[in-house]
Amino acid sequence: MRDDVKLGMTALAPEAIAGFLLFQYGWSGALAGSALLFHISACCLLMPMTYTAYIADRSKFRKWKIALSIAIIFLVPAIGILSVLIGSLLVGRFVAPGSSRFLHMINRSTYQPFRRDEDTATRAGGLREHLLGAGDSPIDYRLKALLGLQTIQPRFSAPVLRQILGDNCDDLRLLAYGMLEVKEKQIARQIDSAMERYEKFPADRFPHDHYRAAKELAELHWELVYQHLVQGDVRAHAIEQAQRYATEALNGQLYDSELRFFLGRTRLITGDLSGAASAFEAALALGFPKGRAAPYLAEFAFLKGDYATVRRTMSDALGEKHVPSLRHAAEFWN
Amino acid sequence: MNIRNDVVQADIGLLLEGTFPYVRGGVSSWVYQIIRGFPDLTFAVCFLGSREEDYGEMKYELPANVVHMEQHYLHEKGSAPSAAECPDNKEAFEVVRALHDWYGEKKLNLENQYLGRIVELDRIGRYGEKDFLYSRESWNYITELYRKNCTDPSLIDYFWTVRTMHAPLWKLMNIAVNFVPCGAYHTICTGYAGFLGALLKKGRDKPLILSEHGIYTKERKIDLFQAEWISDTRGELEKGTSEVAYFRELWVRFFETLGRECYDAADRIISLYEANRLRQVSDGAAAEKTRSIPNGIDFSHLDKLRSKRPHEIPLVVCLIGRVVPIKDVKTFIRAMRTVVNAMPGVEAWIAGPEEEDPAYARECRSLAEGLGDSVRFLGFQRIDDILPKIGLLALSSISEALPLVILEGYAAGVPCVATDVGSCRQLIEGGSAEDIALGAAGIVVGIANPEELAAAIIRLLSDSALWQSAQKAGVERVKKYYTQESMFAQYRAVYEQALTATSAVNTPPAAEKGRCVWQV
Repeated sequence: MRDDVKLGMTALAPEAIAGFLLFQYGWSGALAGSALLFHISACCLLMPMTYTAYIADRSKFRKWKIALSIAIIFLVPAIGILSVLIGSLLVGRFVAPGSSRFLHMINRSTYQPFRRDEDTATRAGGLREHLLGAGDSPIDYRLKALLGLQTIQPRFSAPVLRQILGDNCDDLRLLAYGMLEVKEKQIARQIDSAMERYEKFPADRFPHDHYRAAKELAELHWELVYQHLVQGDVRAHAIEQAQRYATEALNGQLYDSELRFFLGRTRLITGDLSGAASAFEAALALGFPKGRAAPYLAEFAFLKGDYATVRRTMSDALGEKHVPSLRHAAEFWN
Repeated sequence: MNIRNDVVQADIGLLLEGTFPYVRGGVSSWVYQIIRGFPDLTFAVCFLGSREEDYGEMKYELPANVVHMEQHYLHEKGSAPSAAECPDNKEAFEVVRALHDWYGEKKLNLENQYLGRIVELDRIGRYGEKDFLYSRESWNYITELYRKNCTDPSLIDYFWTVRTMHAPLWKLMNIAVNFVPCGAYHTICTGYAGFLGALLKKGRDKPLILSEHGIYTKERKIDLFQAEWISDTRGELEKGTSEVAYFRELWVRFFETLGRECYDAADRIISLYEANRLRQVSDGAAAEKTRSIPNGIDFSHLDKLRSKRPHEIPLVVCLIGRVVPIKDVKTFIRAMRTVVNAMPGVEAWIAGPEEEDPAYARECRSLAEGLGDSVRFLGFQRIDDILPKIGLLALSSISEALPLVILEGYAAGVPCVATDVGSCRQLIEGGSAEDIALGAAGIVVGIANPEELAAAIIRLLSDSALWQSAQKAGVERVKKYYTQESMFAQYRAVYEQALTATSAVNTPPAAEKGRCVWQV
């Protein structure tokens, strides 16, 4: 490579530094002066290459090369200025005077920090306190506390909501009723749609679809019980339905360990201990995870009065990673 | 749209929202009863509904003394004025600001003059819907309020919520201008109808009577707290545990404000029973304007039904009412599961129209499926036909005022099991000491409690002596405290007082036929 070209390429370094300095945050004379010095040094390094290319060049293209360079350096800005002038003239001609009122400068948007109602910041315990513990809390507080229950799992909020149904305040009673109704309605809708599928797919022609619909129906009826949305005879009816559909689903899928265990749980809740035992055993034999089974097996043993088994089962549960919520109960038993 | 337009003025202008003559129910029956109870007075009816498709045919025949009837649908896409540039109108917006400041400060028991001034500005063309929709002042005011008050980050949602909220009010302004002149106006609730009453009062200076059955604002509030259509654009970290979404609160405040305007404008505020009167006072009604007038029934007519009853107590429990969530028909059906298990042979009848909420009616039917023939859905039935056949009336509602159906049942010799809502306890156990001494005409149970409801039904149906004493107490109670004659006498006094005040002021000149007379 020729020496002048090497020098020219070296110019890239000071030019890059000059550019870097120009784009620094903030602006100062010293920064601009430094950038200029680097730029001048880059220009000096380029000079030998420019001399070779333009002045020392004796070829017939020399004039054209100089002309092209001058055109690029001077004509492009001139064309730009001309375009701006023509554009301004066109705007003046086609946009009517006074119509500039359609074009407004809008204000810079301002950052709006979000505002919270400082009076109502409270946690779940506070909600319960406002709702049940203190009958003399202002009604607005109690209403807001009740609304806060919407964010809590129905299994925990439903019993509180049911208590509120007996409250003296009409507003609270109505709202609590509405909230319970919404939760129950959601499950009722799902039951309706599962029932449609159950009827659409008879067991003899669509065994797999029928099994899935029956399993879903069993689980949805159980959900009503689990979330404390039904009581008394209706609760008993829901458990009965859950058992009925679970048994029917198992007729189509004998090896569903999860469903067998589910059936055991529904029997456990009604006090059918022998039925629950056989269902749990079958589920575990089919490979149902012991860790998940532990709390129910412990409950089963507890109901039978076999406390040594409760302790042993809970000790097993303590080693399971996926049931951290059991830790306190397991520690109690050990 | 006008249905009947016989004359150009009437004695009483009835302002009705979502009720008579398009919806069946307790309030509609009461309105029908009032119109027929005053054949010497003429009535002009203004029906306000949400959208036309929500209502079918008229459910009641208009009595002859309804000389004018018009209906308006507030949530139907109306003809908003076309977009156009509005001149600056600072003076009008000063009044708008003052009005909203007044609302914000909740100055109870102080007269609000600003709404009247806005009505006046609208009349003389200085401020109208166009200014609200398209003026720069309006935009400035809305954005100013957004910055000052809104805790939801979305300006777009705020802007459109404010617009949507105000749209029916402009329709009401228009209705108030064109409604036929009346000697006095009578609204059956607060809300939009009550606000229309306030506009008529401000614009025409005629007496306004408010009769509230339930408490409209309270019911709206409960609906709004659960409404799914209200947006909340806050991020998860911006939400407090018990903090209500800003737009939800805004809507609640809006209806509270409509209620307060109505209370403020009304000359006489009537509730059905004492607890509701106290509620009205706590919501901003001036105590001296309030009073209670209980519902009353045609005792002499219903009394005859008792002779048609069989000797034995019919093992039929009947819920008479619309099949809608507020009646909590599901709890009744659930209770019947327990009742049927304990007393096979007992039947549950549900007598009421199902078209108002077909989805809910379907859910109820599906819930009753497992009970076979024990639960029967009869649709709408005439009480004269059904009351002699039933042994017990059940009311599982989660909200009631003073249910006419309990009184009708008593007169026909049917005791009642009802939830502890509205004045049901007063109707069953008695209000005053003298009333309580008459004995219990049934059993009061907690709401949404199928077990308690079932136990009460079983107790009354299986204990003949208890049933007989409840029947006796019911007949005595209704005869003594809840007759139609007593109710009409009290309303006649209210109407006469209002119409006398009107004639003392002035009467509409003939030249103003069909238009309002503004007291400028």
